[in-house]
Amino acid sequence: MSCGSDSCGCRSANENGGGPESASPVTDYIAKANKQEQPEKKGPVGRVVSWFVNTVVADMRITRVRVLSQTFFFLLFLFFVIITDLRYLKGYPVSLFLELDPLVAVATAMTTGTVYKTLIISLVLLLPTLLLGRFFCNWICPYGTLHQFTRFLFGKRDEQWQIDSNRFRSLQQLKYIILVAMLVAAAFGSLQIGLLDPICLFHRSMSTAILPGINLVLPDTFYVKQFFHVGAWLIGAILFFFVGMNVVIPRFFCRAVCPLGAFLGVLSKFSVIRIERDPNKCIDCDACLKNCQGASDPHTQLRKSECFVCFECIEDCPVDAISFSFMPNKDHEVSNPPMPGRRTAMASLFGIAGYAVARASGASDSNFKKEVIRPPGSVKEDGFLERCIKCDQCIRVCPTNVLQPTIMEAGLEGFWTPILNMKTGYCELNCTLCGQVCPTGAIQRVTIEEKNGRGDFAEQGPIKLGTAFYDRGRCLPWAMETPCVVCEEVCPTSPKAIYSREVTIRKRDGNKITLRRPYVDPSLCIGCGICEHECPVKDHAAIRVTAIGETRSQERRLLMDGGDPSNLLDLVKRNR
Amino acid sequence: MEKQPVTPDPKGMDRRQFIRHMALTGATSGGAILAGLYMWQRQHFVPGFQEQSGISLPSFITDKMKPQADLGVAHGYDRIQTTRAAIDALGGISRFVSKGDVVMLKPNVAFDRPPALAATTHPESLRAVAQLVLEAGAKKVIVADNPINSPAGCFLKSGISAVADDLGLELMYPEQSAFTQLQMEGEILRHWPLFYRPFEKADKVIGLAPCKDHNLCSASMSMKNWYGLLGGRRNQFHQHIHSIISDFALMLQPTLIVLDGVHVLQSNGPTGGRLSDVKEVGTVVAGTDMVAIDSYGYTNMLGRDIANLEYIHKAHERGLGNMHWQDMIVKEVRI
Amino acid sequence: MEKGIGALIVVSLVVIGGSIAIKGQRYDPSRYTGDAEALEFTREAVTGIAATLGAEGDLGEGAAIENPSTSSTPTREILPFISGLEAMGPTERYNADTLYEKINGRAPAYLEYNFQELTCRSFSLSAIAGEYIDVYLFRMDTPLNAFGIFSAERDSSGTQLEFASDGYASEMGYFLRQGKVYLQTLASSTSPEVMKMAKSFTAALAQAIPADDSGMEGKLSLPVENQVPGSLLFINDNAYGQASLNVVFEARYLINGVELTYFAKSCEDPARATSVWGEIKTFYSRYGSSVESLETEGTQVFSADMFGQWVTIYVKDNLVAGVINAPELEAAKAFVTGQLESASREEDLEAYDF
Repeated sequence: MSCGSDSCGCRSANENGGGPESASPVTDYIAKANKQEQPEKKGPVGRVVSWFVNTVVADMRITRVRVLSQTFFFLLFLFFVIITDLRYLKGYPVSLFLELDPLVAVATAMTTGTVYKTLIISLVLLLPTLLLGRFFCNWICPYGTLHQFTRFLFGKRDEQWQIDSNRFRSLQQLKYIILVAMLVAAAFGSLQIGLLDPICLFHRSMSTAILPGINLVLPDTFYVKQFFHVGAWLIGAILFFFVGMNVVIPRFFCRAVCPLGAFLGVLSKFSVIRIERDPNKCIDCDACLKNCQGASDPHTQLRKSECFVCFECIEDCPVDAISFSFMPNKDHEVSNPPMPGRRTAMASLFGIAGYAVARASGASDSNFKKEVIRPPGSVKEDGFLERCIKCDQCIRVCPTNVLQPTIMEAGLEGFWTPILNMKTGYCELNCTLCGQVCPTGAIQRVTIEEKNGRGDFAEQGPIKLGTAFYDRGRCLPWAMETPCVVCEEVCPTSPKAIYSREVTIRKRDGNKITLRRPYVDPSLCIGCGICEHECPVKDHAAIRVTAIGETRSQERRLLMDGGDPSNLLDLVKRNR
Repeated sequence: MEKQPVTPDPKGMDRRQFIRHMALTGATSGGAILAGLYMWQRQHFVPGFQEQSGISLPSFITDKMKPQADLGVAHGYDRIQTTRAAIDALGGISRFVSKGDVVMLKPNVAFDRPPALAATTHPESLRAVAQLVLEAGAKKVIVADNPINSPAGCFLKSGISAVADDLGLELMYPEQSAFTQLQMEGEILRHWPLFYRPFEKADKVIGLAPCKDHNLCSASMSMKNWYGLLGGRRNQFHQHIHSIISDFALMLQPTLIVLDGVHVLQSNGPTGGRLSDVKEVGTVVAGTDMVAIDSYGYTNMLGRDIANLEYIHKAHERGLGNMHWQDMIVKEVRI
Repeated sequence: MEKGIGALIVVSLVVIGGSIAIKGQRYDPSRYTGDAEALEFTREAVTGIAATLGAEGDLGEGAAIENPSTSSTPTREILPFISGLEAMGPTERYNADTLYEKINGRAPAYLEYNFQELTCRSFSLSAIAGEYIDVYLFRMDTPLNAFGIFSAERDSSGTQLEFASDGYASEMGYFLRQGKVYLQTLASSTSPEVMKMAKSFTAALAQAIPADDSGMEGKLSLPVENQVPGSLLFINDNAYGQASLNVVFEARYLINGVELTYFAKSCEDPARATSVWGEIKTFYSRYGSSVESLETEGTQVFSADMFGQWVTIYVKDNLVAGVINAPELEAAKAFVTGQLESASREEDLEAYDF
């Protein structure tokens, strides 16, 4: 090894007699085990089993267990992402990672004052963090695993470079600034943590960019029909950027950007067990920094808020000076996150200002856009912005590709939140999958009966997403003397919300033609958009759904009689 | 590689730090658990369809002194004197209104008709009751209605605003902000905008209704008078008019009701339009049971068979009043 | 120690994996549809009959017409200007759906007669403060229906107006039917100045409203002499319990102290009139007594008695008319005979233009 010093206690140089440059102790041990194996000849199965027994089981080092754990959760994450599809979904808790995410639970608790359903299980991660520190970042987080693996695959192998790259940087303060700004915005009712939360980010990137991308190259892998998502290039680019940065700065995202990491770092302050360096044994070789994931300075005073509990430092220390201790000396640690009070104040101001400026543009209020048609079961708009973490799980699970991430339609706050785009799909009548997978209740977990106003809910009626309106200048029977009632045929409500009247006109060429001209009955229309999707005028359909008439908000209900419609519908229904 | 200065003994922390730290961690953990459980929302809801809440009206029945009679009937042609006599037959206004009360008077000012056409509460009827109430020591008298036609025109043309100005009564107009959602378990009325502002400060509520023919529900008297408290689009009601009118008896219990039959609109109601439709009957009835009062009015002022008045039967069957006024204590006086 | 924890963690991972696998199998299928075929949306799969409505004239351009340029919207009523009156508010208009907002519970009565549009406005008198008149123009769909609502609300004590054959003055207002319009002018009081102003306005309006008496031929055939004022009315259908007697005009007459009710129905053609007359006669033959009938040139007459009330009904050309519910047969017969004689003297019915 190239440490260049005789007093250096690097294990690999001493124990293996200066073998070839090895990247990790794992290969050393495999080599050692293989050497030991050579005297006995065994069959291939035997060799695998004995390898397993001798290396994995016999040498159950904590770092190996950690790798196992990381692999397990990473594969679990991929599994969830892939089966979030109506063909495979069954009862799997596909939003489990999001539900375990403590930042999601805490931030939505701040915006809405409630902890929605399954988000309560985030306590399972939150409480151990209070005891053990940021173990999540290196044991469970699939995004962290991705970063670590990228760094492992593509990073520089030069040891000194590795050591220096793992020293603490002041850049690591950035994630706390981000966290404070986002939490302050959340306190005001604007939920933005989903933009940079690792689980949300990873889910979003997989749903909108990676899986459709793979499906383009390898058709039919994931989708029955190729899915497209608006703005997917940006989402994919951001993912690649962060992952790619690992080559420059290891765990760049986790150390400098991740608000969840920052949050857990703050909570680490209370941890009762941590990495502890025995200064008497320590020889200041900095070997512990070689594979330090968190850049937490284990070689001096450990920064509790940065330590990922990866245990690499314990393994790398040639003199066994590092241990995982219960309530060690407080002087050997830096308890608090590296954020002076002034910076915290500044970050708070960013949060407030960001919220105020975004909300003042009126996109969620009076200036609401007609394209903001939200999925069925969505809460009203200001509540939606309080809950949506932009994980895009709903977009992933939607079977018709109608859900798309917004860019500016819902305003700045609604960036990457889901809306329906009837050109790419339509809302399937007997489907409430989006609500099933939404972890925060931005889309409530409504049943199909509730969605369609059947059974017990016949009195209150169906959930309406919006209303369809005819553009008679573009409609074939209205403006082009051509028969067509596709919209009426595909309208799924019963009775149909689209009806037609027969008419006989004289065409331009002098012949008579009998046509059916369609109309919408707004009291029956649920805004599902099949009509718009199937309309043959493909570029800008002759029947288009807009958000007015949606039942989720009182203000945007279509006022048909000019009065308070909920009262009237109430009255009419009770006497039907 | 700089050496950081460390304390000589690296083993553990001192007792106090230990306890403090454990306590903090414990408190934070406990706090997180409690907060999470407290805010836990277990059930989903269907957005936009949540149960609407609303207010319900309290009872305005006075429990001061039981009136001398259930119905006070006065016969005469001078409206002011006859109205006073009817209330006196119950034992006087002081049985209903106490000193310092805020009293709300609800006349029928539905249309912009002149008083002679008997389509609205006659201004003299309002004057009589308002004067009595003021004499009883009321601190404030509110006059309010939500007319069918435009409010300004109605209050003016019916002569009601002139009386209000004259006696210093507070006239409340049905502005948008004066309405609150009502909630009750009526047959038809469940959630509906209610003209609530007049009730906010009111201690006592008195209904003043004319007795008139009504094309749709046969007669508009004291029960139908409360229609003027509802907002929203009331047009829908005419399909279920009898159920709604009986719901009014559930909606509120007023302190006192005065049914003015000095002039009765006998035909072409509720708007009328010809003096020939109006007959001088010369009776005023006062009481607390609107079902009984309307039964009396239908029988004796309009001269019709009570079997034909559907909403009276509905209200009676629902236990909201007694239609058999003949079985009640009726005190009759003649001016 | 490290091994122990390591083993524990591995076991926990296995447990987590296992419980997720088990959880995955337990789900409520009704919660969402697992129907992937639903994605393969085909138009043939759609069931249901498209609701079609017949060509409705209300749409104008959608009607089965070859030259869809004229609209069928009738011209609207404009209120004339009268000096001495100032408008108290804007002109209000109400259609069948919104009429309730103006006249509330009285609306159904108007809707029964196919009410079309109400134009109304209030005017204050410039000369006298506090006095005003309200003008209501109810346009119905036919002159017959306008007459129907007019006579339904008629004040029998009203005095005949000179400028409108169907019109009367009441103590506080003026009421008339002209063409398809039922006009009411209501005064704020009975004072002579207000009533005079109201009368002028009504007269001006009567001139402005187009005259139209189509469908009113039956009414025109009713004589004016001896007619009890205000008794002229119009029965839409099922007059006197007869299914065939619709659109009937009726008036009462006082002749020598005997009050007689006389009705007239004008049919499309003589054949129809004869058939209607025949049905009535059959009815009375079955349920009445003392049935006599005779036939003269172009006229058939029958009389009958039902429970002490006499009827004498004739058919001549398009007209079915007669006396109904008379106390004495002779009076009834005399009246009908008189009618027939004067009719034969003046064959042209239009002479009866009072």
